[in-house]
Amino acid sequence: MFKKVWATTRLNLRNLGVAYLVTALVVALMLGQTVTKLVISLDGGDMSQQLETSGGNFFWLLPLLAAILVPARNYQRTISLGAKRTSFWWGALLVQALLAAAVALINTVVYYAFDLPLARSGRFDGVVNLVEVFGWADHGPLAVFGQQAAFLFLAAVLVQALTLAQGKWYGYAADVALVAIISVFTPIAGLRAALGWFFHQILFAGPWPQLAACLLLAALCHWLSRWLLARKAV
Amino acid sequence: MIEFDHVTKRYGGVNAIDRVCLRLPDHGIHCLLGRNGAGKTTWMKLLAGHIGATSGAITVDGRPVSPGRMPESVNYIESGVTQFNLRVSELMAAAADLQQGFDQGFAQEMADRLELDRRKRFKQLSFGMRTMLTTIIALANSSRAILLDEPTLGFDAIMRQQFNDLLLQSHQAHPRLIVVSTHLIDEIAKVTERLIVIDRGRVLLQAGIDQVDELAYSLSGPTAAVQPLLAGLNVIGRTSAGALTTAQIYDHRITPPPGVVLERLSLQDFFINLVGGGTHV
Repeated sequence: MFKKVWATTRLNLRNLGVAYLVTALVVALMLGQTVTKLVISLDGGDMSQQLETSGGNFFWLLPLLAAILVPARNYQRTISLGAKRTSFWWGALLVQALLAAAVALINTVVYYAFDLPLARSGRFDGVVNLVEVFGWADHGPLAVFGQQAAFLFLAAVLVQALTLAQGKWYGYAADVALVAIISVFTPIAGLRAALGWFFHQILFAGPWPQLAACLLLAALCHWLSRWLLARKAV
Repeated sequence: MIEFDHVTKRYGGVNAIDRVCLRLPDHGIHCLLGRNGAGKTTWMKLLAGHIGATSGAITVDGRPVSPGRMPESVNYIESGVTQFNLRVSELMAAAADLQQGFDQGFAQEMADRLELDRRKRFKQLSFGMRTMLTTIIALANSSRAILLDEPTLGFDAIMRQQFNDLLLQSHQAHPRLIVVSTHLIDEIAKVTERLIVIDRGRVLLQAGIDQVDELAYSLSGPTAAVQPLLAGLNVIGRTSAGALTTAQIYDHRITPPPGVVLERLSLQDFFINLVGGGTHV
């Protein structure tokens, strides 16, 4: 069984060309912008009032794009090669876990190796990396990696479940419900507090509660995606 | 043993498969015939667990089949299906990793014999070659039931012959159930043992080729001589031109009187009369 799951994972990782390309382009563009500003600063230009966005943030695109491409594009092709739904289901989970971990690792390295030294150089007003915004950097490199990986994993599994549901009435209902929750919950104080609590748990709570919340929700979404996959025609 | 028990698949207000009851044995090459939209693909997808039935039960070796329970022993391949744009050799290797007991030796031997360039990527292959590759991957599978949906689509005459050889060799190497859906009836008749005819979602016929050969015939002659012979016979088609009548029959053979000619019906004529039958003047 594991051999088939691993084969599905490898096959999907190999066939995410669009996701790799888009991520690489966006990261390169952001990197180009930072390098340009840095050159201007080294040439005597004043960039000290500008906030710079870390290119590392944009690696987050990769697991999110993969979460769309794997069920929408690769699913039928994997089944056509003789894979069964169960292998695909576990394989897709492994793809999301590996990509979330890889991207979290890359962004952690980017944060400590580039963003922090750049911010401390005083050439910019600051370098914005989401690991700092969400407070993960307050707990050290392991938390930066772990909390980021857990959040990305949750986001990817959720996007994957939503992608699997598209084309069915319950998929459209979920889309409408998500928009409704955001737009209805935000203006009403009580509901806004509930929404705030939810985002606090998956983003801002300390390392262990945040990790636990993300992994628990990811597990729920993944089990839901099994139900969705069972109803997805090939 | 594969069993359909009053299976219905409904799309909107239409029954694509309508209360089908069917039993299939463990071995043999079966040909699934039907007009476009008759329900062949739906029937195959239901059996492979790619889609779920609206009502009724499908079982493989007593185990229920549904999209949540795709049977390991059934492999369905749709013609014209898009594969990952990998090299032929890489696709075969991927299939070997994904399937238990994939016969890579058989796949490679067939690819060489059919002059399938293993270095080419999937999108570099012609439509016929893509279908042939997909078919090879399906037949190298060790599943106990292989369902091939229109596998000869886009094949030239030589490729169709090669496909028939491939089918026979695969069946000899791994005796099992192979169901082939096709419109090229007389060509598949050379290798198939049994026929399943579907029309408007219902199974019209499930019979051996020998049985069809024996029971399907036509009677031609003066209408006055042919007409009395048809009483009590299962007439599936009739053509009249002036004072002459030709009747297509699927029933026991009779000995025609002088002036009336009895001829064996080709499989294609039999099929046309069975599903599109009626009286033609």
